[in-house]
Amino acid sequence: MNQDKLKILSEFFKKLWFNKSSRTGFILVLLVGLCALFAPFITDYQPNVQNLNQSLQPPGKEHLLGTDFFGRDLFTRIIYGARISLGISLFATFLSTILGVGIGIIAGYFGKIYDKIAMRIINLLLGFPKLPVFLIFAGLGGTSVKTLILFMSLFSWMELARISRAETMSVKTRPYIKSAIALGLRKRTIFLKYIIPNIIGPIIASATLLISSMILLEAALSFLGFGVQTPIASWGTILYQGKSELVNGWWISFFGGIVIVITVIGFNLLGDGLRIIFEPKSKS
Amino acid sequence: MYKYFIKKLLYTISVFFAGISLIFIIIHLYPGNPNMLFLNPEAGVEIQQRITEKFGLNQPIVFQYFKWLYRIIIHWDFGHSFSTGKPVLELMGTSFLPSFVITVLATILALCIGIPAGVLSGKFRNSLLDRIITSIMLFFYSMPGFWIGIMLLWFFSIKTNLLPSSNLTSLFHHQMTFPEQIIDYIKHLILPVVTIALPFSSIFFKHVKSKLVDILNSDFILAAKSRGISENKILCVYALQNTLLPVITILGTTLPVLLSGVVLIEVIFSIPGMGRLMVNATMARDYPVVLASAILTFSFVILGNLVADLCYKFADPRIRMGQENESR
Amino acid sequence: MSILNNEILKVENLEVIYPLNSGGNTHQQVIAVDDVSFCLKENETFGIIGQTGCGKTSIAMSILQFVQPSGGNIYFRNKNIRKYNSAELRVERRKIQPVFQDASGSLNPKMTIRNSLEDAIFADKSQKKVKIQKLLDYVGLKYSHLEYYPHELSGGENQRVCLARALAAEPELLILDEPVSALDISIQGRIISLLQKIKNSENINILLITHNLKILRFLADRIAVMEKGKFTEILTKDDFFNFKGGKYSQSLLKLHGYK
Repeated sequence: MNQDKLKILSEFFKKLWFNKSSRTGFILVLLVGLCALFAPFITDYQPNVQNLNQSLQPPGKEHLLGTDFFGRDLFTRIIYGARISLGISLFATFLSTILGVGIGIIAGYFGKIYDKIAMRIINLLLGFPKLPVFLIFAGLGGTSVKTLILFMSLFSWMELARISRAETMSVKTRPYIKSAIALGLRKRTIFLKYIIPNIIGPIIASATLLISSMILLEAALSFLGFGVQTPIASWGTILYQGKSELVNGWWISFFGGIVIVITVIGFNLLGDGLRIIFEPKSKS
Repeated sequence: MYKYFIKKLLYTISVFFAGISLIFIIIHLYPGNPNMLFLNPEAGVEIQQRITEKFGLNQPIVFQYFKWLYRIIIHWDFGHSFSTGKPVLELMGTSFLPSFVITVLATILALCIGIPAGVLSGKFRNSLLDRIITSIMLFFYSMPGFWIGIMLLWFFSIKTNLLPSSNLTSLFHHQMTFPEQIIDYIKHLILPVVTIALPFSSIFFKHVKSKLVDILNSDFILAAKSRGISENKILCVYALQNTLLPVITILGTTLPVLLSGVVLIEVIFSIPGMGRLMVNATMARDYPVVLASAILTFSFVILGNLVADLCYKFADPRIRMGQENESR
Repeated sequence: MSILNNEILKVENLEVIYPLNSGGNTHQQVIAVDDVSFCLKENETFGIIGQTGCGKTSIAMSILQFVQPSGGNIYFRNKNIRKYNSAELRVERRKIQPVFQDASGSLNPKMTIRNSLEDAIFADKSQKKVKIQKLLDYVGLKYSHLEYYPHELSGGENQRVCLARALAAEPELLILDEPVSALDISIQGRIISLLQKIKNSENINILLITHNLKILRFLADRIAVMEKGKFTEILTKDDFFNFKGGKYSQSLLKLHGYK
C-alpha cells in the first residue's frame, strides 16, 4: 500500500515537473522556503543587530543587498523576514482553508437554507474592502500578530468555501456517496473519508493561490504599520522602513519588494499548475 | 427589467444593513471594554468620563446600536471626530473627492491597459507577443501594488524629479492660472493613478484573455470561420462582444480590491483622501471616523456592485432572472 | 390500515415531482412518478421494467430516501419510512441497500476495497476481518483484491465488491438499479448467477429495476411495467413472458426478440 502511495506521488511530481510554469513556481517556492528555513546557515549577520558604522551601505561585496539605516544587512533581514512573512501567511492560509472548506462542505452537502445562508455571508464578506475593515480591527485590538492572523483568516476563506461548495455539490451526486449514506455512515465519516479526499485537489490548488494573496496582505498591513511591528523583520516591515529611507537607500524598498514578487509569482505559478493537474478539463 | 431592478435594490439594501450591522458587531464583540479601546489610553480619567458621556458610550449596546443606526440612516450623521471635534461627515466630504477621482481614473486606465493586452494575448496565443505580455501581467499580478508605487516615486520624484511626490496640489497652487492648475493636478495624479492601475489591469487581462480563448475555440466561431467570414470581423463582432460583457461584472466584484489599493496609495503619496483619513484615524484611535469611513467604503462597494449588475443586465438581456445569485 | 405480515415493502400512491431547473421564475416541473402503488412480499423479487427516463429510478430513490416524494407513503416492515427521525433513519436505512448500475462509481475512488468493505461493517476489528473473508468468498473475489483501488479492478469485479458491501450491512431489502447494464455481456451472466445465488440462499428480498429483459427473466417473480411515470400493469413473470400482458408489454417483448 505504501508503494502505491509512492507511485501516485511520483506520478504527481512528474506532472508538476512536466509543465514549465508549475516547475518554475515549484523551484521559486522551494528556493525561498529553503532560504527561510536555513537562514542562519546562509548568512553570517544577525537580522536585528545594529551597526551604525555600516549605515545605508549600497549593495556590494560586503553586504550583498546593502544595509539599512541601522547598518543591518538587508539580505539577512530579508531571509529572516521570510520566516515571519511566510509563517504568518501559511498559518493564516491554513486557518482560512479549514474555515472555508468546512463552510463550503456544509453548504454544498446540506444545501437549502444552509447553502443560502453561507452564500449570503460569502457575498457579504467579498464586498468588504479588506484594508478599511482591517483598520477597524487594528483600531480595536491594537496591532499584534495575533490580530493580524485572525483578520487575515476571517476575511479570506470565501474563495475556498465557494470551491469546496461547488465540488461537494458535484461529488454529492456520485453513487459512492449515496452508497455511504445508505450504509448509515456518520456525517463525519462521510465528510472526512468520502468527500474531502475526493475534492482535495482543487482545494490544494486554491489554497496555494491563497498563500500568494496572504503574503501580499501581510506586506500591505505591516507596511501601513498595523501588522508586524518593527524591529522584527518581515517583508512588510522592511518595506515600511524602506519608504522612509527612500531618498538615501532605494535598495531597501527595491529588494524588499522583489523578494515578495518572486515568492508570489512562485506560489501563483505553482497554484495554477496544481489546478491544471487536478482538473484535466482546463488543459486543452 | 423593472422587477429585476426592484429585486436587486432590495437585495442591496439588505446587504447594506447586514454589512453595517456586522461592522457594529465586530466592534462590540471584541474582547475588552469597547468604549475604552478607542480612547487615548493616556487621557485622564476625567476626560475619559466626559467623552464617554458626550458620545453616549455608557448606554446599553442594543440601545446604542439602534440609536447609531437611526442617526446614520435618517440624519446621515456619523457623530463627531474624537480628535478634532469636527463632524465626521465634514471630514469625509473633503476627503471623498480625491479618492473618488483617483479610483475612477485608475479604473479607466486599468481597462485601457488590461483589455487590449488581453485581446492581443488571446488573439495571438502562444506567440512571442503573448508570452511577453503574459509575463508582464504575471509580474503586475504578483507584485504588491504599493511597492511599485514606492519604486515609481523613487524614480520619478527623487531620482529624476519629473513628477511631484506628494499631495494633490503644489504649494503655490492658488497663485497659478487655471490651465496651470489643471496641469498641476494632472502631474500630481499621474503616479497614484498609474500605481493603482497596473496591478488592477492584470485582473482584467486574465479574464479577457481566458474568455477570449474560450470563445475563439467555441463552435459558433468555428462555424463563422467555415462560412468564410474574415478573422478580424470574427474577432471584433463576434468574439469581443462576448468577451467584454463580463468585464462589467468583474468591475463590480473587484471594487473592494481596488479600494484597498487606494488606501495604500494615499498613504504613500500623502493624498488627503479617505484612505489616509482612515489610517490616521486608526492611529489616533478616532473611532467615529474609522467607523464612518469603513461604512462609506462598504456602501460604495455595494453601490458599485448594484450599478455593475444593472449595467450588465442592461447590456446583455439574455441573462436570466433569478440566476444572478448562483452565478457567483 | 390492513397490512399483511408478509409484506416487506408497501408503496402507496407514490408521487415524485422534480422542479425543472431552467433557472427562470417559471415554475415548470416534471412528474417523474405518478400515483404508483405496489407491495413486495417476503422472499420475493419484484421487478420494475420500463424505458430509460420512465421514473423507475425515482421510485428507488424515494425508497432509499434520497428523494423526498411529493405525495404518497412508503412502508417498510409496516413502518412509514418518512416518519423516521434522523437517528432512527441512520439505523433503519441499513436494512435497505442499493446496488447501482455504475459499479466503479459506487466505490470511493480514494479508498481501497478493504477500507470500503470495512466501513460497511459495524463491528470490531477481528469480527470485521472474519466477515470480510466470508463476503469475499461469497461473491467470488480473491483476498488479494482487497488492497486494490476501484480503478484497478474491472467493472464486474467492482460490482461484486458493491454486492459484498451491500450484503455486509445485512439488509432485508436489496434494491438493484440496472445491476448489469453497464457490464460486458460475458460478465453479465456471471453477475446474474451471483444474484440468483443471493436471491435463493439469503433471507433477502430484491427490488429489481431494469430495462433488461434477460435479468428480469432470471430473477424476478412478479413484474411491474412502467410507462411515463405510471405502472401500466403488475403481473407474474410467467404471464409477462407468455404475452399475457398489455400492448406495451407485448411490444417490449417483441422488441427484445421474444416470441
